Formats: sequence, C-alpha cells, structure tokens
Amino acid sequence: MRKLIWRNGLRASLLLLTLSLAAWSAPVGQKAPDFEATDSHGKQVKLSDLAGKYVVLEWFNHQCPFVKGQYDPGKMQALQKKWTDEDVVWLSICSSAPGKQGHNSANDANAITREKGAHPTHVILDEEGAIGRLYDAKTTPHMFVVSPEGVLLYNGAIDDKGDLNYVDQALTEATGGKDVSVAVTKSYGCSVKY
Amino acid sequence: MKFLFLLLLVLSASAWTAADPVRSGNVEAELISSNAAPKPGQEFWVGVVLRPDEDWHTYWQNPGDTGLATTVDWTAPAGVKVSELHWPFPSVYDDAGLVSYVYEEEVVLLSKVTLPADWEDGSGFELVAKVNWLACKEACVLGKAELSLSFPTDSPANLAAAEEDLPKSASVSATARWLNDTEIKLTLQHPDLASVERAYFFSIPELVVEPSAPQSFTQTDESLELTLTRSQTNPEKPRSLEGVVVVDQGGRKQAFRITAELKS
Repeated sequence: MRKLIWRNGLRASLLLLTLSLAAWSAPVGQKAPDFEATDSHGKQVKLSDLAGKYVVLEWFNHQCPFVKGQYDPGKMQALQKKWTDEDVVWLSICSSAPGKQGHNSANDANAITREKGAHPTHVILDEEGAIGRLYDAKTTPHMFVVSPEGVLLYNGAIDDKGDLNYVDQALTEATGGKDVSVAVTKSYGCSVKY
Repeated sequence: MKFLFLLLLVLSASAWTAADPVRSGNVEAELISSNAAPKPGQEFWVGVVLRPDEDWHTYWQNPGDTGLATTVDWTAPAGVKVSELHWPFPSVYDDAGLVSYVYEEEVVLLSKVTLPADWEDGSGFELVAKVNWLACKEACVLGKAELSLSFPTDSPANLAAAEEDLPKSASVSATARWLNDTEIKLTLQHPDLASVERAYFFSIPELVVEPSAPQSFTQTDESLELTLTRSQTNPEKPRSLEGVVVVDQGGRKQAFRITAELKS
C-alpha cells in the first residue's frame, strides 16, 4: 500500500505557509481555528481558553470499525490516560448529524465514555458539524494536536496502520522541546457523518 | 472416527483458503485466472474479484477523503512472479461534501503472473491471495478473505472487460502548471478526445489534490483542460502529478494514466 507522509519539520511548514496566502481550513504551523462548544456535561469549552496547554482533537463515531479498532483493544483510552495525566486537554468530538451513524444524546455519549473506560477531558457533540467543517475533519478517527500557543502541530491519522502512533509521537516530541517530525499524514477511516 | 477427523481437517482447511467465493463484510470475494493451464515462461492475468452488495462500495488505491484502499498479499511458489496490483479506474463518491474514490460495483483487481521458463510443464501449483478491504454504504465494515487458486484450474476466466478498464499509458500527453497558489491547470492532448462530456483526474498519491474540491473542465479543439485544487491538508506544494484521467464520451468511459511535472 502506498503511504505518503511528509516528514517536514514544523519550521519548514511555517516557512512555506508564510509564503502562502491560501485559505487553509486547518493548516499545520498556523493558528488553530478557535471554537466554542458545550460538552456532554453541559460545560462550556473554548479552545482559546485552553491556551497554555496542549490540546488533542479526536474525531469520534463509536460505531465506526476504525474507532472500534482503537477502543476495543484499549489503545485510544491508554493514550488519553497517558497524556491527560500530563495535563494535556483531550477533546473527543462527534460531528455525526442527527439520524446519522454515531449520533448520540449527551447522556448516551457519557454512557459510551464510561463503558469504554475512555479518558477524554471533554466529549463534544458537534451535531451541526460546525467544528468538523472548521477543521475539515474527514474521517473517524481524524486527529489534531494544538500547541500551548494555539498553533496546530499535527493533522492526520491516528497511526501508520501499524505500531507507530502519530499523536503520541507528536506530543512526545513537542513536549520534549523538539519539532514534530511527522506533522501531516493522510487520515483514514469512515467518513465523518455530516 | 478417522473419517470425522479427516472431515474436520478438510473443513478447517477450507475455512483458511477458498477457491469458491468468500463472503465477508458485505462483499463477495473470489480469485480467478485468465489462463487455466499456464505453460512455462507464460504471462497471464489473475484477478481478485470484489462484489459489494447493492449500494455498498470498496476503495481505490488512493481512497480519497475517506475510506481505506484494498490490499492484496500474495503467496506463490518460488520462481513464480506476481506483479503489483493493476487497478481499474474508480468513480467519485460524494458523501455530504467528502469525496472518495471508489468502486460502486463489482471490480476485478488484476495482477500479472509469470511462470519461470524452466518451470516443469504441467506441474500443479497454488496461488493464495490474502485480501483486506473496507466496504461502506452509510456505515463501514472491514472485510477479509484468504482466496486460493489451484492450477490447472477447471476453466479460464474472461478478464478482457477488467483489462479494458485499466488506465492506458503512453497514449496521452499531459502538462501541468500552477494557475495561482492553490490551483493547477492540467492539459491533456490526445487524438481521440472528441466530444468529451466529463473528465476527472484521480491522483494516485494521497495529499496531492484535494478530493472534495470541484474540478472544472473545458475542451478546446485538441486538448482537454482540468482545473485542480492542491491538497488543503498538506502544506507542502506538490512538484508533479501522477494519476488517472477518466473521460466520459457519451456514456463510454476510458481512462489514461498520466504523469506531469508541475511548472509555474
């Protein structure tokens, strides 16, 4: 299978993007688009209020086999636990429209979180797809990492379909003061059910 | 008792590999060959057939915005060569603005098999294909099958239609240049490109062209022009295009394999 991964460092992306005037929906190396939402417990969440912390955005649909592929063996939960213990904010976002696969009420979403033993900081039900469209989230899972300065550090797949988890790698590198070595990959999985 | 054991053995063996079609994940999969009794030194096609249930689809080598490409891992006897997959051209599947490159009907993924010249004529052998795919309708289901084919087979399969759907190379000249920071003009020249109703470019590498961006198309006397948008995810600009152009001439579709350096 063909896999294309751009091993451009963050610096290279920044340089390219300074030269580019394109209207990117969620460009790595630039300010992550701000949004405000109510989480599944009724709490307000605003990305810009989370400045000073790393933030992970995870697009989620509990009925998608690729999401199950991460949750059934406990891989996603372990990653959530590992990084929320390090004060990273983890937002699991479901952009399924009402009537579409994966759409849930807040209560059901909380039950699913409990059932799966998941550790997101917040679950956000984006049933109008506004946050999904803002980030051009295409698949479940589709992962983004935002720096404490609010800059997008990673956009892409959860892993290389093997043992390399790109989100873990990006967070490990960034929190260790390094450039993110793989900042953009092609996400894969079910379509986001807008 | 012995019989029961043998029966179990046969049953368990057939669960691993199958010459008959296998159903998994809303798709029926089968392995077929254009040559029932290949001779030493001969080259022939084998095909992995994927027949999705009605309204379901499987994915091309670049799945586009969503999905996952089908993979085939071959096991063949030493000396028998099996080529990379030759993919028939795909179609566009638009799901609420997310665009994927798919097969909405039966597809035959082809591989070329070559028997060595010093192969012992008439000696039987087996090809095994481990196939993994994703099929989606609104929901998605992962499917897999381990398909086997023992040579000589009962009868050859006709793979001419599948071959017809492979993109043709070297018959069309393509050039590409930047129109601005995000848009690319792809120009094709080919004597047989009259009365084209639609044309569409499918990039083989991912993160080069933005699947969800509309492609506008114009036709002049001798050329076809497509306006493409580069990937909105990848901050790095592509340097070349490599892919398949599908042209629709009044219901008759043909596909061309093209590569082009991107000029400013």
